[in-house]
Amino acid sequence: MIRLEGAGKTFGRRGEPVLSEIDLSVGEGEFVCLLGGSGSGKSTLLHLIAGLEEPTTGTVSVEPGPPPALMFQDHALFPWLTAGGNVELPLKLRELQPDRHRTEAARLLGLVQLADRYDTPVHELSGGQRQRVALARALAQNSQLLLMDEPFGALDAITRDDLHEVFADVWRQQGLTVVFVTHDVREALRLGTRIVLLSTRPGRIAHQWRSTEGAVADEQEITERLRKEVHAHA
Amino acid sequence: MLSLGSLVPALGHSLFRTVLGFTASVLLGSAIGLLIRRYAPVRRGLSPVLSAIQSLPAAGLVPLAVLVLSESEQAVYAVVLLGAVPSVAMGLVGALDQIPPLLLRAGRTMGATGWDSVRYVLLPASLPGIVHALRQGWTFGWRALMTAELITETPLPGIGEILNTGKQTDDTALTLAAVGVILAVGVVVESAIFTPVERRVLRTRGLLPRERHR
Repeated sequence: MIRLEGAGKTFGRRGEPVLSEIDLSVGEGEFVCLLGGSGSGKSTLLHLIAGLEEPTTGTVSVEPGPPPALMFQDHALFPWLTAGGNVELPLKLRELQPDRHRTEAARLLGLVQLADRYDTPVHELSGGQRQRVALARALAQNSQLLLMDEPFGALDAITRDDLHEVFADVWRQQGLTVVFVTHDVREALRLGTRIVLLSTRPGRIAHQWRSTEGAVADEQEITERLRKEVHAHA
Repeated sequence: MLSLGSLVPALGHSLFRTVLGFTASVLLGSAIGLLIRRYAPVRRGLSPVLSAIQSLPAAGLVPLAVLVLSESEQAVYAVVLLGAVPSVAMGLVGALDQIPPLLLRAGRTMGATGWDSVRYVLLPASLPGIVHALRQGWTFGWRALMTAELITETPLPGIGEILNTGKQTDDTALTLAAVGVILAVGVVVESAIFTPVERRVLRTRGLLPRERHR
């Protein structure tokens, strides 16, 4: 679904590379967590896949189809629309028949357990609810590929726990391919089928784990390695 | 001889001119604003000029307009345009510049490009600023019109002309009445159009505190 070969990114003409020599392929239905400290270029890597940035070296290719849906740490919902209005927007842009907008948006809000919030303005929703609406909006794009940039990073622990559950269900039901950026080892372990650890400055792939390799035992090991990568450049 | 009774038709003339001038200013100002936003060289070239024109008092524009267009209604309209267009254009540019980049990116990733991006993202995202720009354009235009009507040599029927007559005939009542009408127009336009529109726009976006229930 996604293939990066020797992909690197440098900003500006004389800047230091943010990403270097990234070889990564993501298959259909995978849930890949990109783990790394700040400055590891994990968001930049996501932007390369999303097509928001061009690689300076190497290649990035994404299977043709609807453009990938993106979720940000900030919900990036449109404040002039209601929850339902936000979810309807991608449907309008997809030129779905107008009489189906409301039913489809309501179905998607149902998936994230916010069916009763259709007409609620964004500013009256809680942080967790906003991220759920953002998820429903991303799903409305009908893309097989969902790219998420620390989407739950700004939420409190309990809300984040609830959202993990909602989101894991949605991922299974919809058979999505997900690339998920996080700096939280437990989150990565809980959600990912694969964890990719990035080193810092430049971001390189330092290590990869698959969840089949015994997830529980890994938490300490992964945290240890992440700590090493973060401290190597502190 | 002008009297208080002539205020009503004069108000009609002035309002007609200001509505026409304001409409033209909005169209022209929006076009210029979009060009400035879209093309960096246009911004570099035009922005300082427009800001400079904004700082010119309308009284300074009248002689210039009369020189170019001679004593005519066109000269009055030129003054209104010079007063209102820069405000509308610069206000629109400011409104567009203040859209959070994240919203633009969100729109792009959803596939909103070209006209869709204008309709679904740019326009609603900049609406509070646009309302502000329109209000300022209106105020500048109305003020410029009054000045132009007041100091052009050929008398054009309007509130400004009544003000002038009042001054020349030492008619305090007439002068005060004319000033009152000018102020009243400002109050009515503000409270009947701009304030309700602005409150609505802000309330939808959660930018107004909710009215307290007692």
